[in-house]
Amino acid sequence: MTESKPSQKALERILKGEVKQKPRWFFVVKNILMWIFGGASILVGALFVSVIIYTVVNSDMDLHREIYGYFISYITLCMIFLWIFLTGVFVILCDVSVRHTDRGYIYPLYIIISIHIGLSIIVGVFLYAKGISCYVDDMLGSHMRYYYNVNKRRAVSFDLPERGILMGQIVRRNDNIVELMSTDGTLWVIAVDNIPTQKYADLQGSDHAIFLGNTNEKGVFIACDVKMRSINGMQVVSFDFDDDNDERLLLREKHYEMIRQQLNQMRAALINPCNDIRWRLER
Amino acid sequence: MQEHNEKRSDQELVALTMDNPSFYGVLMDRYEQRMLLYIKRISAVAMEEAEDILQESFLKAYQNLQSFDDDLSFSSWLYRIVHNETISYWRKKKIRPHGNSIYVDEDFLERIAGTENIITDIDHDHLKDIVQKVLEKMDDRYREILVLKFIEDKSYQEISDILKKPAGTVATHINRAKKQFRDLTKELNVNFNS
Repeated sequence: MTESKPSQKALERILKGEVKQKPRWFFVVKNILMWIFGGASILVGALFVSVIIYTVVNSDMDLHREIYGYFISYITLCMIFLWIFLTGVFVILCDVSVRHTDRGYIYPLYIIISIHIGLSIIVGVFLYAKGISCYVDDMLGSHMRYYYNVNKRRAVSFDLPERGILMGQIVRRNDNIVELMSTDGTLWVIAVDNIPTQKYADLQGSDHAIFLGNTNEKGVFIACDVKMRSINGMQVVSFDFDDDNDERLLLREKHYEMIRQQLNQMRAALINPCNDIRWRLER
Repeated sequence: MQEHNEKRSDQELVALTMDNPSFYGVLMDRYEQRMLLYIKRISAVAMEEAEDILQESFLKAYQNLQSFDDDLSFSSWLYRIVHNETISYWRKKKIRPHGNSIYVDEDFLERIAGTENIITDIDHDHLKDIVQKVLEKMDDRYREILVLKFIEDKSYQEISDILKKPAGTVATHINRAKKQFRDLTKELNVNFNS
């Protein structure tokens, strides 16, 4: 009777050497790996948060409002939601890995979520301030065809020189002349005498910008305003649509008026987001 | 010698087992009956199956003995392994065997009736039958937590360590388990003292 006891059967197998103890280092390494994985998921979450900040800061809401008449473009929204969704996935992965550590189960879910989101925001702001999010966004945009990073979205929505908007990468800056490579590879000469003084200093080579203005008979683009891509600034970059203190106001207003008239014609056809998307796809 | 070993604490025996596996026999003897009862209380397995589950649990505990954390009680740690092994076996068996039911002993019956204020003037065998039916109808996780709290007499912290859930979640689940037990008992027309 006693021979059938589970404890005796188990002991027999142990003493015969059929079952051996796993070494202590196995558990130590497993525990450390789980904590590392939890920490890494916070870092990845932070990276996503930094890209969210970068996307929002460069969402071009003002220009969208002017051109398309609604608050924010569909693609910008999609990108933001994609990053929020991915951040959520990594919050769950963090929770799973912490629960697989020795005493990780004592922490309630809300504590893990709060710590993850809090640290992701703090580290995310730091990464954005260091320009990492811009690098990630550019890299994804160049390697993933269907990923619409800031530059691709701007190219789709705002590369309209015939309508007074020019978008591209600044290749050279020389006094009051800027050379810009547009998305179709055309090299544009832009006169920047008329842009607001405070923005003149922001013009830097090798970065992306959107110019508002008009093309003269010599093919030079006369800019009245510019919007640089914000790589690490916390202020949402915008055009000075309502600036009435600038000494070049009259000239700029003339340009604005011309652009608005052209844009109004477009807006009539693009009154709802569906038309807007169809229009952009057709382009 | 055996008497001396029986006086040793669980922690001491675990430490001695690291060098000499024979000491593990003392630990297993200490918990064998309690664990067999626990397996039968949370699952409707036959005695032979319960013994198999327990044997596997003992072996798994031995394999993982180096991961035993001194901050936990050995009892909670072993309960956790036995619990997981039982649930895993129970879930693998999709069809529940005929003729077996959740084990309800006298101790179990008294405690659960006392806890839930069930009027105990009803026939004893009938009450046992009702409790058995209610337990089988309950969600697995609620039945397990009810058994740990009211039958195995575990504290919130111990249940938290056994089920690997935060103490707050344990408290919530205990309340839900009690409510479900009460609701199911009412469905079977059993009255409660107010």
